[in-house]
Amino acid sequence: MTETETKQVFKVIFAWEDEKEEKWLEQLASEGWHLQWVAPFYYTFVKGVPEKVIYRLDYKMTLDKDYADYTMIFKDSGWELVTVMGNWHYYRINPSNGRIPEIYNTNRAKAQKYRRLLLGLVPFLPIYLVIFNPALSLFNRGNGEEISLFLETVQLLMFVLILFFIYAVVRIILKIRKLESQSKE
Amino acid sequence: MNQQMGFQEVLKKASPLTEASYYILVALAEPLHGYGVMQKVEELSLGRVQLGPGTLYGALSNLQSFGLIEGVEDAGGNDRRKLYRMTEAGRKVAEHEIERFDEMARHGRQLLGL
Repeated sequence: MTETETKQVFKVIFAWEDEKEEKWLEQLASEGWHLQWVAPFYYTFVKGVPEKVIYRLDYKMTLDKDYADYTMIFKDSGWELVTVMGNWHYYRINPSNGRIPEIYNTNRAKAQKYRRLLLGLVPFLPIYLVIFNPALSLFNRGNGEEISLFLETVQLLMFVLILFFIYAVVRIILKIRKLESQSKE
Repeated sequence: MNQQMGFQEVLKKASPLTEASYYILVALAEPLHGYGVMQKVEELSLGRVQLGPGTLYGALSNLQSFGLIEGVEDAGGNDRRKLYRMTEAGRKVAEHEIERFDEMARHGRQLLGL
């Protein structure tokens, strides 16, 4: 068996920067590094022939009832599903006769993807506010100083995370607005 | 699906259809699966209307939520692909859109003296 050469790359890219991520993956493919799988901020590439490959990311909940039909439509139209991370689907295709294939043909259709993303993100906020934060506060009663300090640190970290999360939601809403205002209707 | 929704309400929500949605809807006058719709529309429009899978999937689920198309129970076979077809309400909306296009074209010709 021939040893396949792989490399791991740590890269911070956020949910609203998916187009930047697509370009980056295409750049690496043109250098012969083809995406194999993705963990949060962590990408594995396998060495191969340098190729012009188009990467597109789509957001779709894998638990949806129509999920099988969704993946089938992509497969039938020639897009290879490379990997899924969270609900992010990494698709690629080899462009034929010089045309760059798109998974979304209009800005309006593309805005739907970010609407699905919002729906996927928003439930985390009530989970934090209603369950996690009160639970932590409750645990924090009558504990020793060390545990108390630890729990407060966790709470602070969570708070920073939530602020960042709200920022992400705002960025995505702005993106949807921009796409919808650019659509021709 | 929106059986309780009156037709006028459905029409108000669905019309005007986007170009992609219109083509998908009329292609489903006969039952087809997703990729079949894509091929038919491309063939019909001589390649002018391209439906990417994301656009197609989104339009199919929108049309379905308006009750203009529906999934067809599979008659068996090895193909796991879901078949769709136009509903009665879908046909009415399509007819309404066709009349609207006719009227638009007529007005345009009239004003441009064609």
